Amino acid sequence: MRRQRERVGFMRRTLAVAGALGLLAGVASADVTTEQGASILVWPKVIAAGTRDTIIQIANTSNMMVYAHCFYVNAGLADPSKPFDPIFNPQLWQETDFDIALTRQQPTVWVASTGRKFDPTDSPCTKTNFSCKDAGIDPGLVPQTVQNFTGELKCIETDQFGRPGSDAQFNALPGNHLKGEATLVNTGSRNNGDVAKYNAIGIKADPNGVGAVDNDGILCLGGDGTTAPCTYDPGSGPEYAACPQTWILNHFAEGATDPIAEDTSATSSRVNTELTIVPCTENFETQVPTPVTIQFSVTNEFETAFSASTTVSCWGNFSLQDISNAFTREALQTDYAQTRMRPAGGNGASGFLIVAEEFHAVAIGGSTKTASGAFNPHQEGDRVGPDLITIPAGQHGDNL
Amino acid sequence: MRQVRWVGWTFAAAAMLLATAPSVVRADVTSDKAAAIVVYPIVNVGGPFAQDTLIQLSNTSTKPIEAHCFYLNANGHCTNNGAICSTGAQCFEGNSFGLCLPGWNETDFRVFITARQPIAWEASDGLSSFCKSDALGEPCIPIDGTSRRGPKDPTDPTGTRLQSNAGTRIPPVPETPFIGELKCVAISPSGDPWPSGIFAPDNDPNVLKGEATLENVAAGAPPRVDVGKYNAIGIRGLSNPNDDGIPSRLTLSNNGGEYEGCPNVLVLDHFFDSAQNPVPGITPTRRAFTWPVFVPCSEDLLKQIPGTAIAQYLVFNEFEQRFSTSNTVQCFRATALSFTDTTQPQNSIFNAGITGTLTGQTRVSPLGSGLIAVALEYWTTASTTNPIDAILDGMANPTGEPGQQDDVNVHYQSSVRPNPDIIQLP
Repeated sequence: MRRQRERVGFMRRTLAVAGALGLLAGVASADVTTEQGASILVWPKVIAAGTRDTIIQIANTSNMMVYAHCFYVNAGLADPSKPFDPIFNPQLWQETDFDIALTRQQPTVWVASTGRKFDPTDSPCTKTNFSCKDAGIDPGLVPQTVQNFTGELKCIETDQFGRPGSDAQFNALPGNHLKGEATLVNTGSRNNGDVAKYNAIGIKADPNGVGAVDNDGILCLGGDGTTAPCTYDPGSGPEYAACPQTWILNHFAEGATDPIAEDTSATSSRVNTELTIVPCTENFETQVPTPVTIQFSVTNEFETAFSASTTVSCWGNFSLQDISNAFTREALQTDYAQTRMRPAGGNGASGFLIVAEEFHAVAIGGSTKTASGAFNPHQEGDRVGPDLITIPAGQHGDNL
Repeated sequence: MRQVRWVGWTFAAAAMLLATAPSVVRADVTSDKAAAIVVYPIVNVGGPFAQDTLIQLSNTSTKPIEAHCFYLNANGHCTNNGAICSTGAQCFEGNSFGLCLPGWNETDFRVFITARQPIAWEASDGLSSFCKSDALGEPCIPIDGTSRRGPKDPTDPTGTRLQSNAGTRIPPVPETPFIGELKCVAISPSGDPWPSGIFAPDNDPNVLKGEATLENVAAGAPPRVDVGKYNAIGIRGLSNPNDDGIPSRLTLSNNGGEYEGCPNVLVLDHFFDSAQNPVPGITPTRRAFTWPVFVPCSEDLLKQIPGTAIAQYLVFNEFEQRFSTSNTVQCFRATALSFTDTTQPQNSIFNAGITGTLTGQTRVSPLGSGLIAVALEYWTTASTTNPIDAILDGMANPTGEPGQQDDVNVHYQSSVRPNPDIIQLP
């Protein structure tokens, strides 16, 4: 009894101190991030198909051991050699999961097409050998992706048993220790070696600092606490930060010329922008992809407004002109535009995450060369309705 | 009994601090949200990183905004002939020797951007003329306010004024080659930055976003096309600023400042220099070299005094082995990682042959001024451990495949910096 009173008193004093420090609900930056540590990392664009491959980098930014449960989601076609057909050649949504462990401040790297084996005898780099793939403390067995993989990678910070929220003593898992990057590499005979790099999108855990993440296998991103199963008490907060309400992209009009190339001996040039979109809500238990309808609001340099929409189910990768001719140079009449993207369907619909890649094709010296640069669009606002990531039973420490 | 209670409070406070210190979230500089100040740490014309730089700047709000922009020229110049230089050896002319003095000169201009409007320009050309109604394809300032007009200005109490880009004129960079920084500050209709100025109607100054594209295009055998893109770094105005009453003095601090503070730690995941690209099928093989570009947060643009920071580097390889070094960042620093700690890059702690693994995590803590940064990652076909040879080889390789670059924004990890950073506007 005395020990229980002491424990309660300690907790009360702790909460009082936390309140004085302003660490309770209402003080947080609650957005997803591409430049700070987070507990969920999403690499929306992972390609190991045809003439492209992807280097995945992930690091632990803390001074403690960190574990993560990762999912590759393959969104390629059932038969990649044939065109898409909703019945005879649908888009897949196959997940492959694996676990990694990172020691304090440890970075690690692997190539999507080859994965990373668990082999402590890998030779380190030397002054005469700079090809030391897999040297270092192996984070675990990272599988190689299937052939013709196009999809996403998602890693969720957990304890050593796979619990995302708390340890066996139900102490809140301090999170937000992961950061990541992806480098898309061109391996084809044309443009061989061209690279484009983007930061993985991070979703912070427990944005209000109240130990909100539980271990029910349903990760709640945002929400106002009133929508099951993402309910929480007033004064508490969501398990993870909300997905953005709006994404903002500065881009070339589709087919616009490259002004820097036009100042050279290039005979022609063309710039296109490709978007890769994944829904925030994903159910790895049922493996049923979540569709999200996206509204585009486009403003050109003359302040003329255009609009478009498209629907993405599971994973979408397309150029702007594939969405609508409103993005073309002929329609926009200017070289540049600003596009605002938001999910349609109100708070019950899913949010989405996005990266962009800009392709510059230049005809010069008798051939056409293409180079690309990847970047993260800007975000604005938080979605009100929660997004859910459902981890399959047995993969979130629930069997302990 | 009283002594026991104090012990309890002490332990509670300590436990709370320990539990929260690693993961306390602070408002920080950002490269993925609109802001009141946007910084492009590297703008390059004429090499070595880019033949030219395309600057994109846009207004994310529904109100017009003025951006007061500054090119900060970090070129060195020879004392004997004034030529642009990066080393003293470049200052030998005839029988005279000169010193290569680092420079820091600002050129400022104004850009007026209408609601949700994007604007872009090449750093080498700027934008000087307004678009004619039938002149498609020529770089020009879109809306002159007479032949072309924007929507109604929501900041105009009369409701009659229309938005335009009138007043905009963007000069080219002051010299070629040029290497330096671009900084743009949101200005209110009253002519003052946040928080002295009122950004009607919603009093939100965080409306600017930007990107920079570093590009190389050259004919050759084979020809070269190379593109790297990064987001401008945004410094957001605080919603509850502590206005010091000096409009031209911008205080960057989460603790009693006007704008968000610069980070205490910059975190960079990178390939070690000379590391070979691990992707199968790359022919010929390529080696990585990373050039982080640092600019100080504190800058006195009135007296032309650049900020100075001692950058302390803590490096971890994939074996969790730890290395450290430091150097000085004054005004602008774009130095290959393996030149950070030595003039012999093959012996650097940032060389893959020394650290033993392909990748590392480097944590940079600034003393003095805060720092912000982007990273340029360069992949060369040259069989070299020298980053400068790698860059030059990529620029002028007559027989092999030219190198390729990709640019990425670095991560931040922050607690409150001991002293605020100050940007003094002229």
